[in-house]
Amino acid sequence: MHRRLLTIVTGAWKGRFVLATRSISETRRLRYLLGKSSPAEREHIESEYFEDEDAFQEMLTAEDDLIDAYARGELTDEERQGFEKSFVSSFRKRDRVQFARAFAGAVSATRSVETKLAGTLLDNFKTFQAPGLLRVATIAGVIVFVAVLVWLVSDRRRMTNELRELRAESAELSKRTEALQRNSETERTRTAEIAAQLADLQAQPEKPRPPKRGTIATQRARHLPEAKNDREKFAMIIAKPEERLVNQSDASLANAFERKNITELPLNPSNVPTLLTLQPATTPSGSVEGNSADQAKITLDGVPVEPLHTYSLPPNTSSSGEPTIRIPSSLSWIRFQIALETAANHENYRVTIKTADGRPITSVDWIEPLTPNQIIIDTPVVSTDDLPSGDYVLLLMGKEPDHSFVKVVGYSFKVIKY
Amino acid sequence: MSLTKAPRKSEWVLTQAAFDGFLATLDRDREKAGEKYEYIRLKLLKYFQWCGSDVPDIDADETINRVTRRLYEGQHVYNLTGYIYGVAKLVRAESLKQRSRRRSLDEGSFIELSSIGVEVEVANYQECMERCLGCLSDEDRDVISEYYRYKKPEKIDCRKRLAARLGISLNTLRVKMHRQRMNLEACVARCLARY
Repeated sequence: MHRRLLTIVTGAWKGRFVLATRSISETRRLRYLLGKSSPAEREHIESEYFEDEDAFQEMLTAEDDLIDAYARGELTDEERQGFEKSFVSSFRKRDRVQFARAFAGAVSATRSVETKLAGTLLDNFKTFQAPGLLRVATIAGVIVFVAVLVWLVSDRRRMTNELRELRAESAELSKRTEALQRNSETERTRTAEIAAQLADLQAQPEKPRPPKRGTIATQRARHLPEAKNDREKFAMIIAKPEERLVNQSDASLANAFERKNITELPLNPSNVPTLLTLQPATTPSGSVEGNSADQAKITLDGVPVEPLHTYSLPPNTSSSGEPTIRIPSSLSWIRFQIALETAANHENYRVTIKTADGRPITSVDWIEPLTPNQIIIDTPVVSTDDLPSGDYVLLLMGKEPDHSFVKVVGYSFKVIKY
Repeated sequence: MSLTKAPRKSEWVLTQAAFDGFLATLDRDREKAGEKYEYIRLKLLKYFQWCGSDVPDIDADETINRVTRRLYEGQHVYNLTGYIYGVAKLVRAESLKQRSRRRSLDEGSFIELSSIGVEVEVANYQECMERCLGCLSDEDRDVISEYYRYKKPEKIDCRKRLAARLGISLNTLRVKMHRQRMNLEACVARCLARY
């Protein structure tokens, strides 16, 4: 289907031959865009892209490519002339050509960086191609390699030793922890026994104390300050093991955490790329603190970048009637393109929009970069929130040297939202 | 000097009800209908641009107005796309006739308009371009740079390789890149509007 055509164009470019390859369909589309198709061919292409989405998309791509080719000076003389006749004469298309020029510059700047890098590496390699230098460089490289290898081996050995010591310390700590836990259990059991004895004593205050319990109490109270009676002694004895439950020497038993807490952390230190994908301050819902939740959406200084719709307003003398602009509800901003009856001669402008019954809606001032005899002016962007369905009047005012504004032209238009 | 359009056959004014009817013909779902309407308008806009219309958006709207009116008046249309294309051809023919008449009367002014060169400050343009490219993700920036970087004849093969590398068809890549480019253009236009 896409049979290739090989075209050799003798060149307008400093006597060189320019080799251009285009498929038949590409050539057909190009001819159409340059206004060189026959009526039958034009009809065929148009009905094709009206009916077929892919064909329309290919036309859009072909248009982009044509503008790029013009901006980069890739067109033949004939093509360039055709392009200038059909494209550059349009104000809007000139914008696209300017964009294509800047874009080509930006894209080729990226390439030039890569080319530069590649060139630098190549130059370095060429330097080493000299026989003497190559030998010296090889020897130096081997020496460096051996040195690095030795350092790596010794470092690994040192790390292995450290790891072994750490493991031993860890085992020792585990033993001590177990011992402490055992002691703690013993003390707890003893406390429970003493508490039970105390409860018995409280229940039978008048009964004589069993000799065995008294022995225990005396033994336990031996290291304590002298108490006035048995109840005080027991109270002091009970307090002692409870104090020992709190580890006052270090925090080894406090804040103990379980192993699963560690394994559940979303970090695998050995997988650096995965770590790099994590973003700080991300909420469970996926939005990021301080950022738009939908980070795929492009914004410029906080304003979402969406295709900017421009609505043309013909002069009021036009017999086509009041223009109607249809604004999708999804659109936040629009701008107007105003066709003037006479060439613009003010440097500063103000656009004021009112409802048909004279209620002011919005007013924006701006400086229009004028060129001689300019008759088409783009207004600044206007929020669509200010323009619900209805009838409006747009007034273009020009700033006079005395800073007053005078009406240049007015336009009536209707807005339909959908 | 003026861009006054040809007198239209009808003085019929589009109403919200008629436009709603047109949208309903496109799709029962209003949101989808809106998308389809925008796509049709884009096609018409491009059609009139490629035909060399001075006011492609006005011609596109006039075409839609006429179609909407016919539908509102109860005309049955079996192939809407074909019908729209037919009406667009009529509008274009009228436009061409009017334009040739106007050119013969106002030749000098028209040439003057054609030769106007509006050059935006290059520095501003470059700054805006960099800012807008900076708004893209690294991957998107690399892909769009790769796509538009090459000149003929290597361009076609490079794009094919790029599509294969991304695991998508060449046509999908074209659509994606065109949209990215439109977004970039919009971004640059908005950025320039601030200077």
